[in-house]
Amino acid sequence: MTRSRWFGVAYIIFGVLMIYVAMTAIEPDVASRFRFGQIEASIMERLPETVQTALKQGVPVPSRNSVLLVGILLIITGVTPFILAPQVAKRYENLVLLLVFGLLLVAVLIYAASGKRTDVVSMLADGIRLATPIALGALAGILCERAGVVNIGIEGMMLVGAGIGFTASLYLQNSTAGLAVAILAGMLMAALHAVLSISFKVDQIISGTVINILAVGITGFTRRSFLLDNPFGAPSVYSPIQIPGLADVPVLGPVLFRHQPIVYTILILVFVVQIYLFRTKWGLRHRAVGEHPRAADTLGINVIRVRYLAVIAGGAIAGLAGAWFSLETVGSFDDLMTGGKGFIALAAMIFGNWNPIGAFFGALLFGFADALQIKLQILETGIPYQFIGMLPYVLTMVVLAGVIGKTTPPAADGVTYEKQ
Amino acid sequence: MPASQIILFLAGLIFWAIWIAAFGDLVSRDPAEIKRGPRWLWFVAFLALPVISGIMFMIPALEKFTPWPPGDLVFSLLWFGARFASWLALPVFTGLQVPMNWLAVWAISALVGVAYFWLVSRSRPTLVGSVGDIITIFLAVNTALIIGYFLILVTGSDPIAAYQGLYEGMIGDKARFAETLVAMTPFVLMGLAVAVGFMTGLFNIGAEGQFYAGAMAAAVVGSSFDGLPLVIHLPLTLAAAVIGGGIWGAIPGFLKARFGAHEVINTIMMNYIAVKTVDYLVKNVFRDPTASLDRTPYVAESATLPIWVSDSRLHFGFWIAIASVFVIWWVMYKTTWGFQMRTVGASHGASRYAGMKVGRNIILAMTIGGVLSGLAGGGEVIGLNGYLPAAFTSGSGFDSIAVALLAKSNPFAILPAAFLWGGLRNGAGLMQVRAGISRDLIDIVQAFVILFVAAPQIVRFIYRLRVVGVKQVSVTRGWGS
Repeated sequence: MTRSRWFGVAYIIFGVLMIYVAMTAIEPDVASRFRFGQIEASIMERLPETVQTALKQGVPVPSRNSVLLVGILLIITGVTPFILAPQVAKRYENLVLLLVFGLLLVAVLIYAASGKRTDVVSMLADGIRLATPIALGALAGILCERAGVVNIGIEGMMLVGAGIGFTASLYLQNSTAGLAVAILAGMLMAALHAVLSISFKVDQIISGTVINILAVGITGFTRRSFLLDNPFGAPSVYSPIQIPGLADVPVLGPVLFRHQPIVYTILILVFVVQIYLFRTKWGLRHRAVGEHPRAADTLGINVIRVRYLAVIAGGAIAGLAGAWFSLETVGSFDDLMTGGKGFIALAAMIFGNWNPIGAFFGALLFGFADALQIKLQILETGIPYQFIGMLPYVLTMVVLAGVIGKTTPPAADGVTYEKQ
Repeated sequence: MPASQIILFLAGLIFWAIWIAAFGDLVSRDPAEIKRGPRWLWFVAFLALPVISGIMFMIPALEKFTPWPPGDLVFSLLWFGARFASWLALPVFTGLQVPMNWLAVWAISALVGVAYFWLVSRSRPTLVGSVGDIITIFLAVNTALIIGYFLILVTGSDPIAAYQGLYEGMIGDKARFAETLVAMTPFVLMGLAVAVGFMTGLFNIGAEGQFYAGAMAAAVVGSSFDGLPLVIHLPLTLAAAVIGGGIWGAIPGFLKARFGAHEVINTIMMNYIAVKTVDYLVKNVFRDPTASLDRTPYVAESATLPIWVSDSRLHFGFWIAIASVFVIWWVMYKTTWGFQMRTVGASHGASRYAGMKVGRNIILAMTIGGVLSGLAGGGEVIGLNGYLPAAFTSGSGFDSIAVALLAKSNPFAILPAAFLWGGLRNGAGLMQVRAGISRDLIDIVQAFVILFVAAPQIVRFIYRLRVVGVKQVSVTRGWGS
């Protein structure tokens, strides 16, 4: 059976499940109401009467019928790979996967909100916020892997960034300095990864695992030695920055332009890295080292130096992602607070085919799944919270199985370079 | 802290390092290359040190050698052997308990070592093959402990008290030794699980999730039957653990074999999913209604692993682990299955060309890994507590990787590696009491051990060793093969 057909079977199962849920768990004639944030009175006035009331009370969506419709759509999608020629089915595999996930998320949301009212805008804003560490981690991974170094230690670099950065901000009483220390700590861990995997030629995945284990030890030790009874009060997290003008646009404003600072850095970094990799001569060299280090070396590129710089730059971004956890989100540090986001970031990177912009959309997918999970817990759907919490992890596995092999990693990814 | 003790500590270590390097060199070298004197003479000269000092060290222990628990000679001998072995293998610890007059024995031995290099070998120590491996690992472990020593010094605690506490907590008396064996048991099984993966070219980070799956299955089967005889119920419970863990391991194996999805990420995701599933099942489905904390009901008497050493928690799971070592060695090195798995680990292309099914072997290796980890989880439930609590985090997934790396994936070497790991974990408690240092320090020391074992080049650089003919673990194959 081809991959498309395996996934077709999965879609059919999901579809049947959806129809079953729709018929048994959702009352007929119940609507899910979706609101779109606060819309200013001056704009409201110009809209027609019916739209105004709909926006005020929430736009009604018939719950049972919509979920049924999604279920039927899923079954149709699942059947197509068995009808179409395999080559055709293969061509649209990724797109179909993305669409199916979109449909699934929507259906789950409609189901959860049946008979209730919920705000879509806040969920979308949350999705972008929660996509931040994943997108940053994916960028770190792209920088490393485009230079031919597999970096499984992003999770550890994030954790150290979060722990050490938070400790520094506490003891220096300065959250900007804390951010700088977080980035520095990420770079130090990355430098260790670089020394191990580039200079000592340790297997790159083992080296990354060493980073992860070391990070757990360092942060645990730091927390119990310096944080448990420290003389300082909890610092405040970074306050949101409203982009003047844009923040007031209805729907788009709250979703995109009222975030805390690190969230904006991804929007900038994604483009910076994209332009660096694909539009500058340094980027060309960087990619050459990841694709064919021998050829790059022949042309006079210092392979070892490029790899070192790439890994350390990746570590800086991972450290920034770490600061997101402790300094921007909760204002405290817990053991293992990164919760596997570093590994999910790698899945986003693969999903985006080692492209910054693609990885950003992959990260958004995970971010929205995470936001949906939070939403579902608020809506009290009766689905056990443990299963809702599994969503991002299951999604990662499915994405990995569905996308890998269709994407092309850098040719020399994971290959140590030995100068001749 | 007296400076003389630090000097003593360092001096003893340096002597020990020279001795180890010289002795390893002597063992590794072609006899024809040893130019001066017959080889046996050098052997005797070198062996004099550990034998003399070891006997001196063991004399006080020998006086206390009363078989405890009464009549249990096997356990007492194990304890005695472990103390002697740790005397040789962990000079950082034993060096702390050295009186001045022993220093003379060490000094003489170190002089022999130096003389060996200057007069006989006229080169840097050159270690060949497995001797090189063993000595590199020895130096890696002890170097990590030295780093820990200075970390304690930096945080302002007393490192000597800390390490004495650590050593005594690990192996100081029989009760603590029994606890160390208890702590070591899951590490043996999970280390084997990771090692089987390494041999097949897979990196199984999911030992922890497979552990939970096995523990859950054992807790359910062990507690839901009543009145079955032990000979049926106990094997049934262990079988449940094996199946639970096996399924949990087979899923990432299948995803890897069928879709090429990298097992590292999938096994980690399976870990999170396992934790959440167990949390749900324990809290909602299999909760013991009479208990105040969220946990499963106690397993029946007929499903409990019997205690091996009375007055301790040491159960027969220990022997299951030991038996597994032999079984895995036999499967991997003496059967066609094992040969195929190891061939797949060496090269996908070559094994496919030879007509082996790469995908099937990947699934098999992951399933065996899951089975072993599941057995570890089941053993913990039915051997120790008798129930599975909801908040059950062992964190032993990464530890099992460390054990497998430390043992270089050799099934028999898993035993000392797991002993060291379990011992450090177990001794950390007493270390915390004696020196007031957080037990997280052990995590850092262990991370350094793995660092040095994974990157033996660092250790070789520090001790100026040359090693020939040692293969490094290699599991990176890019993302989609």
